[in-house]
Amino acid sequence: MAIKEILDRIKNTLGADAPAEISALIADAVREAQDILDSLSAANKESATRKAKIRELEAELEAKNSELEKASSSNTKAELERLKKIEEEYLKWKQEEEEKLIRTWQEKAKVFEVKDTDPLYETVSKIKDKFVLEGDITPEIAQKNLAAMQLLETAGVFNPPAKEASGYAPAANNEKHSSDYTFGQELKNRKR
Amino acid sequence: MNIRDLLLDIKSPQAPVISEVVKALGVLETAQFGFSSDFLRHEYEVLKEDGEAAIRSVNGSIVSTMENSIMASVQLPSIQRLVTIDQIIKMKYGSLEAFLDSKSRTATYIRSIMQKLAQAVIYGDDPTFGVPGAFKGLRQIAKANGQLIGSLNGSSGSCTSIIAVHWAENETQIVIPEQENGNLVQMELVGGGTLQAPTADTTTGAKNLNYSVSFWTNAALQCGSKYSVAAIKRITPTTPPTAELIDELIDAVKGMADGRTFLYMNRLGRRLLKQIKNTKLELAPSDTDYNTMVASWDNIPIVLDEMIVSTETTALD
Repeated sequence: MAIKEILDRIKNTLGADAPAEISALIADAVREAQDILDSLSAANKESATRKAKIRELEAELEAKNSELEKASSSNTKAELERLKKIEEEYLKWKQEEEEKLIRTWQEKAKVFEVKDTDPLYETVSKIKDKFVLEGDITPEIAQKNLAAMQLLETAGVFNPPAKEASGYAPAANNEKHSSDYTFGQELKNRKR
Repeated sequence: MNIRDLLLDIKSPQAPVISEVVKALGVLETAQFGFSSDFLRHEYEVLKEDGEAAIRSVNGSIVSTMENSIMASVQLPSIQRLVTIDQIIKMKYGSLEAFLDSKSRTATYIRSIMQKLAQAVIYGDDPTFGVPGAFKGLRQIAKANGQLIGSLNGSSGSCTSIIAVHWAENETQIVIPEQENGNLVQMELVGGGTLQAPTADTTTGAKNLNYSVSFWTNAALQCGSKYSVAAIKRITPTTPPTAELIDELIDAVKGMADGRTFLYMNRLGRRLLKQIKNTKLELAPSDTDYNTMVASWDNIPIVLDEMIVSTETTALD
């Protein structure tokens, strides 16, 4: 028998003649019993929701474990290793290319170190401030500098001034000139 | 332009080698070079006198003067060297190309031809001091034009000369033919580079077995003016040149410090020239360098040329 029915029977058994204090206490007890029943009912409902959530998470965990098990297989590991190696090689190549780019620029930048007696000095002084020459030279800066330099080289800005009547032609302008000339080479060239 | 500039101008592949070789041949290093008018022959004007100009007033007249020049021509002889290479030597190298692919050998062949050219430029076709069959040389032209300066009388057979030349484009220059390949020294394989068997002994009929390569150049000297060249003759240690004579020599070619007038001499000539300075030298106690170097005379360069000999005879005068 439920506690609330028991209290109702006690109240009925006492009847209307029961002292008011007893009747008041029984009425309090009925209210308390009702509160307890309500709380219990609410607690039961919450527990059911939690259980459903736990079952759902357990299913998810099982799926992840299955995936993890699959991912840990030897084939996948080998593929992963291969990809890691490719990544390492790529990063190394990229770094080398960047260093090469910076070195190429540093080599090209030597053209700016001409003495004031050099025929190119005036030309170089005019364009020097268009390039980033100081500070930390990043690959991006080197790339931009080289692109500008290539443009100027194509335009012949760095070519030595034309030979004057009494001057000497620079050997670099004459590709056929070589201190390595021999009659043997001459004979070989004739056969070509 | 000088030989180096000319060869660079025509993009000659031999330019570096010849530039190096002529450093020891002063006359070739400093001479004016140009191309001949007709390959192996050069025709040029010899200007006798410049002719005179005059003032002509308005509506006045003027006496005309003829162009006072004569035409001259000179042949460009071949200065040649024939090199034979024994069959065994060729086999050692594998091919003629490999044998000739040597910088020192190439320089040697070119040098031998350039030395002979320098000798011809100085002494011409003189049978004793020059190169028979060559053109007339500086020393001979100076004589022909009455440009032998001074009256030094050194003993025949032990004399040397100091030669002044005023080079000028198209007037006083060494002419060479304009070759298609840009080479000054040409090369040809005898028999197309095949094995040759020339007779070594006509009595026994013995034969050599070798390959031959011919090297040559063509050149001639053009002196189109009386003032092209002059020389002080019969210089010896006992009959040295004086400062006045050197000045006279320079004047004889209307020389000036224009980069085209040069004084050519051998080591004896230079030593005697240094003695002139030596007699005028004054040294302070603080001077630590005894310097008798004479690099130029009134800014006219003094050029050493070993082709000028110290055994000249009076036959040259």
